[in-house]
Amino acid sequence: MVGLRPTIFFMLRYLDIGNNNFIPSYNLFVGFGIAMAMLFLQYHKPFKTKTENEKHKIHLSLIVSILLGFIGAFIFDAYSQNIALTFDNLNQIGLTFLGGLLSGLMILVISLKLASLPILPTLNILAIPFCVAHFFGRLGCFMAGCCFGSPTKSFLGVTFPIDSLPHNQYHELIKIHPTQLYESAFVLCLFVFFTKFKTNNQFYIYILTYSVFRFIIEFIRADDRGTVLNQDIFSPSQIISLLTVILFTALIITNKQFQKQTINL
Amino acid sequence: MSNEKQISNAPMILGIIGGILGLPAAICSGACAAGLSTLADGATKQSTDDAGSAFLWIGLIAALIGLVSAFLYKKNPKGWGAMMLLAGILSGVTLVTFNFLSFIVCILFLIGGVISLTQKKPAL
Repeated sequence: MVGLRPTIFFMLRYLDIGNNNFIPSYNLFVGFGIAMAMLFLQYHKPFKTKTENEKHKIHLSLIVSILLGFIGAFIFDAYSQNIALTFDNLNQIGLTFLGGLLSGLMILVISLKLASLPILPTLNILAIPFCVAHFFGRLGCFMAGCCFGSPTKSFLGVTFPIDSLPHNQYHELIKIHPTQLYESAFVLCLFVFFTKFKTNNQFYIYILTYSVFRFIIEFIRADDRGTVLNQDIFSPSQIISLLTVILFTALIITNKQFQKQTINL
Repeated sequence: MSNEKQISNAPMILGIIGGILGLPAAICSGACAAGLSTLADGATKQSTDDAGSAFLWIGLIAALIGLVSAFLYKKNPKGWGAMMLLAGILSGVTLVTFNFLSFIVCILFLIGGVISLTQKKPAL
């Protein structure tokens, strides 16, 4: 029956540029996402009001945190997958988004402090650019076929082609949850919300809502994400999400600046 | 209406995309160099490993210089534009491994570098 045939998603893990040469879609989307986020930042009203010196300091802090964020994502993936960090194992280790986000964020906070810039207001300026980069990054995951979901019969299900990562795991063409697209859609909603409605504390909203969303979406993820703390109940990302919610809720409660800004809402 | 000319964002975009694509390009260059060196007369495991590592590091350094230049070029378009050109030249060196991805990275850095160098910093 035609109606029961799975629709195979035309995936472009590598963009063929002829002569057996390829561009990895994932890297292209991540690069494009960071570039678009930086471009958005240049035209973002609160950023434009900063002095040239402050803008330079923010750029400097961003480059340091992005580079160290990549290293953090790499190290966290090696830890959760239980792979030794040696030169020979480099090609077996991937990147963990949450590991990168949190390590990059830590470095960003330290560098903003060292540059004598106000931390929370600067992070609030960066919340929408974060959404832009995040949106394209997850589209890159979808193109690469990583970070995929569990099998489903719902209309949202997507069938990845032969030789893709989901096919290599299930060994058949079945519909699975496109969790990468769910996440992109979620971040897009946040982007629209932030741009349509003038909200204070955008950074806290981004980090807290994303952590809650990520905790939930992990239940329908089916790729191998490794383990942490010798337990199988929660995935590494769920543990990080839980800790993030606890940490940032505590920060909100104790942060007088946040309370002041919320009153002005 | 303000006639103030802004510094172009094009080198920043080209540099960031080039820098991120430069990471897999460096790995490809290393792999290609190691593969090609096995064809040489008297090739040993040590010599292929050395060739692979050398091109991997050249590619990684180029990607890093390009990425940093992209983020910082607005402060000093001439200086960081020259650094982006250097990144383009380093990526160009890895072209001897016949890695086409390096060619794209090299072109992105070179265009970004040239735009930066021809940029006039607007008077504040």
